[in-house]
Amino acid sequence: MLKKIIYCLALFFCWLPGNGQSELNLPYLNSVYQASYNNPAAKPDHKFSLGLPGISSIYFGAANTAFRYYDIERVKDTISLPKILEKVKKNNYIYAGANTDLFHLRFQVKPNYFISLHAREMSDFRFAYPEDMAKFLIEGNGKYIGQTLDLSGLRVEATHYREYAVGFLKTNDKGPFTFGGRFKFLQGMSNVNMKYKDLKLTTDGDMYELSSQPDGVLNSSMPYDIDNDSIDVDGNFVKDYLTNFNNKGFAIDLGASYQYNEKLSFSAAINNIGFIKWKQNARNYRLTGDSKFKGVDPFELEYEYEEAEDYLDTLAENFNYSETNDTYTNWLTPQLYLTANYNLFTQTDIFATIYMEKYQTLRPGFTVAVSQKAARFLQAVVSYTYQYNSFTNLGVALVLKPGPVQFYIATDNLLAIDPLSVKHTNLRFGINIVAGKIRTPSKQPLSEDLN
Amino acid sequence: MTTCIKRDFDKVGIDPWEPSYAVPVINGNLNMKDLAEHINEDEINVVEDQNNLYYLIYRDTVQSDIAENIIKLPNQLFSTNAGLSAGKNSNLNLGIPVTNTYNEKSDFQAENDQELVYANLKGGILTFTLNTNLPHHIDIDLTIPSLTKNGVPYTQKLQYQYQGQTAVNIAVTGDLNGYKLDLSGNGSETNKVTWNAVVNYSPSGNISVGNESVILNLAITDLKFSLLYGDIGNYTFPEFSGRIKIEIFENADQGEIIFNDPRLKVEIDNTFGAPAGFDLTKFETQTDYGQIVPFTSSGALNIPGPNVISYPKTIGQNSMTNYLLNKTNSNIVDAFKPAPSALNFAVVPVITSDGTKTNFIQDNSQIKVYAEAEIPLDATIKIYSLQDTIKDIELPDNDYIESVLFKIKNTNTLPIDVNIQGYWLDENNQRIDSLLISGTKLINSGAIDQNGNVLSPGIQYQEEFFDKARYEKIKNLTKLLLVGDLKSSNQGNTPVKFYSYNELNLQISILVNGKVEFE
Repeated sequence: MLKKIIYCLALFFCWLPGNGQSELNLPYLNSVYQASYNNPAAKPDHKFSLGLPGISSIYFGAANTAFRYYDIERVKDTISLPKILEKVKKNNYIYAGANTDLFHLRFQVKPNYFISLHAREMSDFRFAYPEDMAKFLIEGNGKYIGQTLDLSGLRVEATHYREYAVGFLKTNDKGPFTFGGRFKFLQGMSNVNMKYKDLKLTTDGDMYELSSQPDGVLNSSMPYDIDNDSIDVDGNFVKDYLTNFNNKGFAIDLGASYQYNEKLSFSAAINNIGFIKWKQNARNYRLTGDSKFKGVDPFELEYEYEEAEDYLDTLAENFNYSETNDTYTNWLTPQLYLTANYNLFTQTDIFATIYMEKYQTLRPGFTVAVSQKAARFLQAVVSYTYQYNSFTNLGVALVLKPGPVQFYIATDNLLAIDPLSVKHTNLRFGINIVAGKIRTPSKQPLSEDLN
Repeated sequence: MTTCIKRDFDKVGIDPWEPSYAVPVINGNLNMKDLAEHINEDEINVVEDQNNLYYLIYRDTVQSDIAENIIKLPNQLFSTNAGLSAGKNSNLNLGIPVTNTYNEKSDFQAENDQELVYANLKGGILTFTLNTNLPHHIDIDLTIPSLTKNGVPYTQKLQYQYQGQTAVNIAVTGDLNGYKLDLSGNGSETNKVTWNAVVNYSPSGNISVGNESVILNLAITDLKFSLLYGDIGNYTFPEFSGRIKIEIFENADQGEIIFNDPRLKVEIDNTFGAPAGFDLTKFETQTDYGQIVPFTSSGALNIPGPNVISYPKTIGQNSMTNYLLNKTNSNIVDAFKPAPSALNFAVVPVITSDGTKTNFIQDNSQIKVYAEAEIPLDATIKIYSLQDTIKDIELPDNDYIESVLFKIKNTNTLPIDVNIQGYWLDENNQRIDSLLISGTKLINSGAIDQNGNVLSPGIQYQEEFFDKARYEKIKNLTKLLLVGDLKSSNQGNTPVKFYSYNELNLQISILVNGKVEFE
């Protein structure tokens, strides 16, 4: 059984790639509404875009920044857990997430002015762990006698929320600047997050005394009271869960682009600046203190007629453990995109993007891409990305618009077709309804545009 | 996302890997106070002098039965003949009433040579009986000057109306609770009861022949006293015994310890107001392994006896008599040499008559014996073996364990060398394996100065390797029997002192090496 669990975990952590929410190809698909999720200043190609529930955008992604499956496979079909230790870095990160559009609408209110509305269902799981955590789990503390294993930075977070957004976009045919922004109301549904600012385990070199100095908190907000309620899932439970507005949050996305000259432009976007305040059945479990375990005093136990449990309770008293029901605030993971675009030919663009996100530590990514449009119904992008210490990320994106129906698909790592060979990937695809091609005055209309 | 690279799940294996975990298991301190103090504070006190030198004080208190359960006042019966003379019988037959007065002084039947002056009663029944066949009416006024309550003598009336009976036996009773029974007679006598009866005979119209009997009986029964005063007499009380448990040696299976100056205090608390004493019918030390050493004394305490103790001269008070056994007046050093786990003693109190009439006892009078062994932990330990069982040990129980390294550290600031071995016990206390493969381990004492004081601790490390097969045998055991032989420094020839800061710290940690492997 343990073998199956370990294997499944290895696959899970190795398989789906992609920095959870980083999508480095998507912003290059200007004609797709979803490009604005990453760059609110992305210039649309159409005056009108409509997304329908379930089909306009489906996303999932996962990442394990430490290793690929093949990194820990000693020979074919044989995993070697100690090989993980050869790959883990000081800070490591596992992500899995999915989201889908419930609805979106974007339309041009007047030339160069766009308003957009959308709702998205979001779920994320993040697990940040330090190198020493892997050492402890795989090797134990026996190899680190006389040393301190620093487990600080251990962090787990799982969130399900819904995003309602209203956005605006101001393009400028005559000037160099384009501005975009989005205000998001967040409806939190459930959250668990654990943060250890400080967690060290020292094994004394003499007689293996264990000392620990934890400083951490586990917050949770669930649809039921995990301490008091039995879980009774019925029709009302699901309805109440999905319509729960007790956990409110707000966030903004901001973007701008600058047309340096006819060929070269730059854009910047900063997203997910916001938070959710969790109130529903909020629970906070805090553990702080400084405790040493030197072994049980059997003489005292026997003579005092105490139970071993009492002794352990006494031991635990060295820690300050508290349970509260306080509302807590959970910040979103902010993202930054800096992109340069060079229009090589009329239908050909070259992109370069620097991406950064902050979760436990700053995690950068670099992408270069080539975009080729064919007529007005096709756009293809090929990208190469370095991210999460991995150079093997070959991304592709494709947009097809046969008529008002716009089909798109984008992934940052096509190599994930062999999921055992990559650290991360993501995939987004969907179908939008678009209309009203926006003419670019500086360009001559294509013959088919005139039809 | 799907994959074109297939993996047959059932074929995927995981290389064995070998984690190791280092965990402290036991960390306990043993000092002499810990060893001694864990049972009952009423029986032991561990004290430190101003230099932190330990004294172990074991004590016990035993007491004799109280006086009212030992000394009983017997039932008393007094009688007098109140028959009529011929002249008074004629007068009665002629219809003339007659009166006779009887002033009696009866002997109180005491036991055990008692010469009592008075007794305060908290119980008793007085029964006054008329036994007669006289065919006339009789009224009797009974007065007992010896029985008073608040200074008022006991009185009782008895009336008899003749109605043709041939013989009658009429009785009246009274409760004697709260009465003082004065047995001094004329004031200087003892064991005398004075009582008076005024008998009024009234004619009934019948003729009496003159030889009819009229007998007055006065019975005093079920007497319970709160105080007896006078010469209390001679009594030997039932034996009572005590046992001072010396816990520090309770687990010893052999020993030879020469304490520098042990002392034994015996304190007698006497509330009998009469000359008293006691015999020590048993006074000895006893080891857990069966050795008994009787005490001998050349001092004030006579073993087995007789011993005379002081007694109080005032009612309600007590009197203390103290004895001290030490190395100069007894064999106490030898008695404690085999590390006894108990001190047994049995006491037989006695009360003796000295002819004095001013002694007393109260109903709750008794003799209490406080025995206290004071053992300064200043000794030469030739050998002292003890054993103790550590319970509720939880060793890792996992099939993946390949080996366990037990790391044992002893930090000894006790002034003794300890040869120690441990045995893993099953639930039936059977020894399954030893802790130390190489046999007993000598834990050296701390460095000792010429006065027997520890200058620096002795520290020893020992590592014991248990391979998988050996560890399998013990991993589910929860009890570890520690057996230790103790000697003071210099092979038990140097006197050493135990201070409150002297202790033996025992630490056992394990380094578990595992090999996690999947089929």
